[in-house]
Amino acid sequence: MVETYIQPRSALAPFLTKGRYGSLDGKAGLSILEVKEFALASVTTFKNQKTGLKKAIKQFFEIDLPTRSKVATKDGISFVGIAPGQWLAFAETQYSHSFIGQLESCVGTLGAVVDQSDARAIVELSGPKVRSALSKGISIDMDERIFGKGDAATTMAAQLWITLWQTDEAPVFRIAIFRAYGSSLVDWISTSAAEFGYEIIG
Amino acid sequence: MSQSNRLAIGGLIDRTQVLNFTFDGKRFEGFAGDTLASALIANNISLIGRSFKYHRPRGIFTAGSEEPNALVELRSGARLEPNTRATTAELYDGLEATSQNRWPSLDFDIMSINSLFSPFLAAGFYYKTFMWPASFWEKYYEPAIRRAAGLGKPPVGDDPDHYEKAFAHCDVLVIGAGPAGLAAALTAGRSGARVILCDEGYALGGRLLSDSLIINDRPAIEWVREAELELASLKNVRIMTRATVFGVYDHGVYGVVERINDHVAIPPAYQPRQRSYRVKAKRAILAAGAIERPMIFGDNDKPGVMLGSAIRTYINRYAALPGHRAVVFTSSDEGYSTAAMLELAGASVEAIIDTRKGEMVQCALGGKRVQAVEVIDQSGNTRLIDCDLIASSNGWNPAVHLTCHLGGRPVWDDESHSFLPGKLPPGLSVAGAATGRFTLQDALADGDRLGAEAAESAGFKADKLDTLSSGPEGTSHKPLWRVISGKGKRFVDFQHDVTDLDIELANREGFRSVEHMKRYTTLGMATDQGKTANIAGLAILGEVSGRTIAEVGTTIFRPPYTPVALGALAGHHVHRGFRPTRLTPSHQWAEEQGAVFMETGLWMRAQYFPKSPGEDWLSAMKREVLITREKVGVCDVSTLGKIDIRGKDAANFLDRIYTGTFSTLPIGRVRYGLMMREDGFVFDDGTTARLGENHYLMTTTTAGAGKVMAHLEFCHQVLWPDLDIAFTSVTEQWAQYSIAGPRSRDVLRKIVDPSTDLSNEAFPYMEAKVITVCGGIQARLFRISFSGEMAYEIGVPNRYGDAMIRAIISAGQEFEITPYGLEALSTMRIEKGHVAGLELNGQTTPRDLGLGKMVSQKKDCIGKQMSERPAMLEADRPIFVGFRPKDNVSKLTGGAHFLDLKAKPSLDADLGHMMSVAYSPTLKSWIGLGILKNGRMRIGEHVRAVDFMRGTDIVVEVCDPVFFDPNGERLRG
Repeated sequence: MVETYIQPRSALAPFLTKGRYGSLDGKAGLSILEVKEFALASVTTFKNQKTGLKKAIKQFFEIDLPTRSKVATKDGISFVGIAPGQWLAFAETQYSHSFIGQLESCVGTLGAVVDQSDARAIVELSGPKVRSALSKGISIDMDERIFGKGDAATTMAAQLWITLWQTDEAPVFRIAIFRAYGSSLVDWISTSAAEFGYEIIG
Repeated sequence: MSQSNRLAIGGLIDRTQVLNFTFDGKRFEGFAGDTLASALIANNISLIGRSFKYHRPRGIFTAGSEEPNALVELRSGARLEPNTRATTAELYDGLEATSQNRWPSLDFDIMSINSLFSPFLAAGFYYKTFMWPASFWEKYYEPAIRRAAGLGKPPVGDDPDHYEKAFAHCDVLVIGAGPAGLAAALTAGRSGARVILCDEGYALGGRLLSDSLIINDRPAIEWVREAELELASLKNVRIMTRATVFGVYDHGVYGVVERINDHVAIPPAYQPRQRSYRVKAKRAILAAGAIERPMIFGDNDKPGVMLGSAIRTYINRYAALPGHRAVVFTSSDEGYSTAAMLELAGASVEAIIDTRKGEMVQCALGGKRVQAVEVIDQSGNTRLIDCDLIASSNGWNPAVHLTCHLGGRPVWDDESHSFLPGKLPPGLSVAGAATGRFTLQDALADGDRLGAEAAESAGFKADKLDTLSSGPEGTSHKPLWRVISGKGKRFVDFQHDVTDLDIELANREGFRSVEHMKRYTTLGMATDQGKTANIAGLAILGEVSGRTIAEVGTTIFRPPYTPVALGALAGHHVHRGFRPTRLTPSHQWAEEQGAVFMETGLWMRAQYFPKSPGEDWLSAMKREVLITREKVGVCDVSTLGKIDIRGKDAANFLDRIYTGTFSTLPIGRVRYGLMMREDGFVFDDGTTARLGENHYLMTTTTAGAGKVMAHLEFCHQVLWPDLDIAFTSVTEQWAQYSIAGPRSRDVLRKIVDPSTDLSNEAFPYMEAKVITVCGGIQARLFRISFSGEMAYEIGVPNRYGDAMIRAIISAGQEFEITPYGLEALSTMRIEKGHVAGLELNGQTTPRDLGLGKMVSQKKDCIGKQMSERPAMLEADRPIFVGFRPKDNVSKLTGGAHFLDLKAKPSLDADLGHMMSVAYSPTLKSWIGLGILKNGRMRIGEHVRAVDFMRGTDIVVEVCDPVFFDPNGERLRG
C-alpha cells in the first residue's frame, strides 16, 4: 500500500473567499460561483469524420453538435463550439473519468477526445450587472439582444483567453479559462464588478 | 466682494449649492454648475496664467475644450493634473487650482523678461542658435532648454485613482448633444435602434445652453429638457455625458473617454476616475458643432480679450459677467448677438467694430488686463476706446477633426468661409454646424434627417420628428484674417506663442508647405492642437505666399481630439493587471516555503527556496544543487508546454516536424526531439513520449509552448492539410514534478501505487507509462532527466497538483529532499551541457549546438535543407563547447566574446561568445557554455573571454560542454 493519499483542490479555491465585496450599496450586481466539479474534454474531429461525429453525439447524448459559436445542452451535458471541428464537452459531475470514458466510447475513431477537466477553471457569473462588468474586458457585443442563452464565444477578456457561454436568460454565464490564469481572471472580474458590488458564493 | 461679477438672476447654475475653491491659494466661492473658468469670472479674476514662451499674462479666452490660454494645475500631490483647461474643469467643493509657468507669482513673473527678447525668440530660434559647438548640445543647451520649457509640472507619486477600459456597441453613435445631435438621437432612438449619445460636457444642449434661442416658439432650453427626458426613458438609448469621442478608427470603431469622476475631489469608493471605451458603431453622426474664430490684432492675447460666443456662454449659462465695458470686434452678424446679450446683462457696449464697415481694432492696450482698444477707421484715423472686455468674433470653424482621422482632408468652402468635411470615414455622416450649416434650423433638420438615415441603414424603421422651427438668425459674414496695422504682437497660436510674424518668417525661410510651417513655428502643436489658431495660420501663410487658403491646404488632424489620460487607455492593465500572471500548481505551497519567485514569460516560477530569510540566491542554489546531486530534489516543471497529438498520421507528422525519427519510437518510450524553423535554425526542443500507436505527448520549452502549438497548427492547416491528426494543448491539465537525484526512486516508491514496478529493469531511462499514484489516481510517469541525475517526471491531474508537491516533500523527508528552483535547475543543466533558451536563440543550427547527429539523414524534415547551406557547414563556424576559468576562481559572464590570447579586440578577431554561465557547486568553479570557432578542436586550449559591458577580460580553458557525468552513468543508475 502507498503511504500517501491526496485530496483534489479546485482551481480557484486559493483566490475566492465567500462574501460580499466592492460597493455595498443595494443588491450585489454580480455573483461569482466557481464550478468545482465537472468533466471537460476537447473533442476534435479527424479528417472527413464530422458528419459521423455529429451523428454519434446525437445518438449518444441526444445533442446536435453546434456548428458555430454556440452551446447545445441536454441533461447537464453541454457541447460548446470553439473552432471549426472542435468542441468543448462539459458535464456537471464529480466523476469526470466516467464522462470522459463515455465520450471516448461514443466518439471512437471519429475524433480525438482529450481530457481537460483539470486544465480549466470554470466560473459561473450571474446578476443584473454581469453584462456591464464583462464589457470591461470582452470586445464582443454583450447586449442581451445579441448574445443570449445558447450563445458562446472563444475570445479575449482583458488579455485572457476564455471560452464563454450563456446558460440562462437571467443572465447566467460560464467562463472557462486555462487554470494557471485563474488568479488573473478573478482579479479582472472582481475589479470590474467592484463598482456594482459583488458576492462570491458557493 | 464674493462673486462680484455674478449676475443677480439667470444662468443654469444651482445657487443653493455654494462651492468653495482656491486659486493660487486664495479662497473663492462658486455655484454648482460652474466651471472653474466661470467661477473665476464671477469672482472677477481675469489673469489666469502666463504664456509658454514669453510669459505674457493670459486670461480666459473661450468657454470650451478649445481653450488655449486658461491652463491651470488642478488638485495637488499624486492627483495633480497640469495643463487642465479651466474652461472644462467642473467646479467642485474644495477644488484647488494653481496657475502655471510663473515665478515667483502670477502677478509678478520674472521670466516675463523673455518678452523683451522676443525678437530673438522667433520661430526656429533654437534650431539656429544652439547649433555650435555641436558638443555643447547634449551637455549644456538641451538641459538648459528643457529646464526652461514645458508648461506645468508632473505629479509626484503613483496616481491613486483607478481607471477602466471597456467596450460598447451600438447601431448609431451620435457625437455631440447640441441641437443636431439631440435631434439625431431622438429620431434614431425612437426607431428602436441602439443609440449612444456622447457629449464632452456634463449637460446636454450644446449651444442651446449658451445662446437664448427659440424652438417652436418656446425657449430652446425647454426643448432640450424634454428631449433629454425622452431619451433617458428609451431603453435602447445610452446617454454619455462628460464623454469625448476622441478618435475614429477602422471598421466603425470610435475611441471615447468618459470622465466619470473628474468633477469630484476624490472618486467614490470602487468607482473609476475615468473610463475609455472602444465603441463599435454601425453608423455614426458627427454633430460636434463649430469653434469660433478669433480676430488677430495687436496684443490680442491680453486678459479681457475673449471669443464672442464664450462671452455669451458665460452670461447665459453661468450668469457670470466677464467685463463691464465691452468693445465688440466682429466680421459677422454674430457680434450683434453678443452685444445684445452684454447689454441685457448690464454691461455697457462701448462700440461695435464691424470689419464689414471698414473699421478695425488695431491693438489692445493695458497691462494684465485690457484697458482700451485702438480703433482704425477706413480713412486711417485712429481713436482709443476705454474698455475692459473685447468680444472677438470672426466666423466659425466646423469641428471637422473626426472626419479626418481616417485620412479625409477637409475642403475649403468659399461660401461659408470655412473648411468643410471632405471624404468621410465609412459610416459617418455630419450634421449641422460641423458641416458648415450654422443656423439652428439647419442643425435640427440635419440631425433629424441623418438620425433617420442612420437608423434605417442599421435596419430600423424611422419616423422623422415633427417639424421644429427656430427664430431668425443672421449669418452674414466676411472673415478678416489679421489686422496688419498697429502696434503689438499679433498672436495666432496663443498656447505656443506663435505670431503672424513667425508665419511670415517661416515663409521667407522657405517653409511654405503647411506641414513645414507647422513644424517650424510649432503652430497648432500644443495641447489644444490649434483649434482656435490653425485656420488663421493657413490664411496668413496663403496671404504672404500668394496662395488661397484652399491652395495652402490643411495639416492632418489625428486622434485624440482632446488630450486623453494614458491611464484611461491602460484601464485595468497596470501593476498586477499589467499582463496576466500564470501560477504553477505548486505556487501556493512554494509561497508558504518562502520561495523567491521570478517571472518567466507570464509564469511566476520559484527562483530559489531560501532556507533562512537572509539566504541569497547563490547560497540557496549551491545548497539545492548539492542536495539534489547527493540525495534528491524536486522541481515544478508544469510550465513546460505539453501537446497531445493524436491521429493515424501522428507519427508521420512528427517525423516531418522533428529532426529525429519518431515513427520508430516504441510505445511507452520517450525520445529527445529537436525542431528547426524553415531556415534551418533550431526552433525548440523537448521530449516526446509515445503513449499509443497513434498517440504522442510532446513537450516543449516553457517559452516555446505557445509558438510551437501555433507552428504545429500552421504545418497541419497550411503545409499538410491531408494529414489526419488533432492537437490539443494539455499543458494545464497536468501538474508535473521532476524528482531528481540518487534517492528519487525511493521517494517515488512511497507515492506510486505498488502495481508499478519502478526497478531499473522494469522502468529504465527514457521510459514512459500511464500509472496510478496515491491509491488509484491516474498519473503519467516519465524517466527523463534535465539535471543529469537519475530523475523522473511525474504528472498528475492538476487538481492534485498542490497535494502532490506536499506528498512528495513529505515522502522525501527521510531522504532529506529539497525543493529546487530555476537557479539550481539552470546550474545543473549547464553542468550537464544541455542546451536551453540562451542557446536556442534563433541563430544556432543543430550542428552549431553539437546536435548535428540528431538530424536524421534517412528522411526530410522542416529546416533540413536550409540547415545544410554551405555557410552553415563551414568548418570554422563557431560550435558549442564548454569553458572554465583558467585560474579556477574568476567569474564568467554571459555575452563575453572569445579572442585568441594575443589578439586585439575587434570584430575580425572575434571567435564566438559565451551563452550560459553558472557557478557549479559540484565543480567548485564557474563554468560556461558557448560557441567558439573550431571549438571542438581547441578543447584543452586557452582563449580570452572579453566582456566590455562588465569590464572583464579573463583567460578561459576550452572544454567539453558536458562537465558532469559525461558517460551518463547517473542517468541510468
